[in-house]
Amino acid sequence: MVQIVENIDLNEVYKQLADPAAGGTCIFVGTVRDNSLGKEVTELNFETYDAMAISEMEKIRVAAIEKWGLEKAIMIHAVGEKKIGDPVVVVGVAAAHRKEVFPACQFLIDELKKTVPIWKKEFFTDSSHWVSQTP
Amino acid sequence: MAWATGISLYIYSYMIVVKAFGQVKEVLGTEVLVNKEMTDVKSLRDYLSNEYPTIVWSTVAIAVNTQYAHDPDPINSGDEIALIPPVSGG
Repeated sequence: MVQIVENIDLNEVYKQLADPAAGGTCIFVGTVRDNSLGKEVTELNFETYDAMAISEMEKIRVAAIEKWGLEKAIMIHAVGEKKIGDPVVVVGVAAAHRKEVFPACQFLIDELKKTVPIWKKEFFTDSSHWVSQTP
Repeated sequence: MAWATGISLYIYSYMIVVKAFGQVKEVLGTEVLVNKEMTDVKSLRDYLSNEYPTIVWSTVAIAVNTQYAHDPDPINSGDEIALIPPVSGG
């Protein structure tokens, strides 16, 4: 499952990953941090190119399933205005054993940051800017 | 009818709609209409570089029909084109 949503429901993600053949589940949640570049962040705003973002996320998801033999993989990203602590991205995988789930989960978020057309605008107390690097 | 003889009307319309996002959108707006025929991604990139020199085009990818495209890839009328500045999701 890949989705672009207004608000992320973490409980729903966990439910969707449930699978009787899976003995391990790993979920990464990215949230809004209150600082960046040594400045106080007040909020973030995410913009997406929906059709392409879905298409790119699906490519990554399929690659992860094939590489690690996963039972399930999920990628969800939020759009719009997000406050400190809000979840903005969640990726999760379920597989037979724990050995596969950690690298697979890291792969999902790392690749999302490289290729999926989503943009983050950071708002500080006195200014704002589009983030162009993804550490 | 005699009065209409010899009158020909040519309507030439070629237009590409280019979507823009992120910091590129702040310069170009949500969409740019290109009324010039573009054969491939390179010709579009060259045209846009000339029209909007303040953008660092070497950092902007171009997508055709929701797929990352490269300079030699063709552009056809009706294709969905998008300008993809450096992504920063997550």
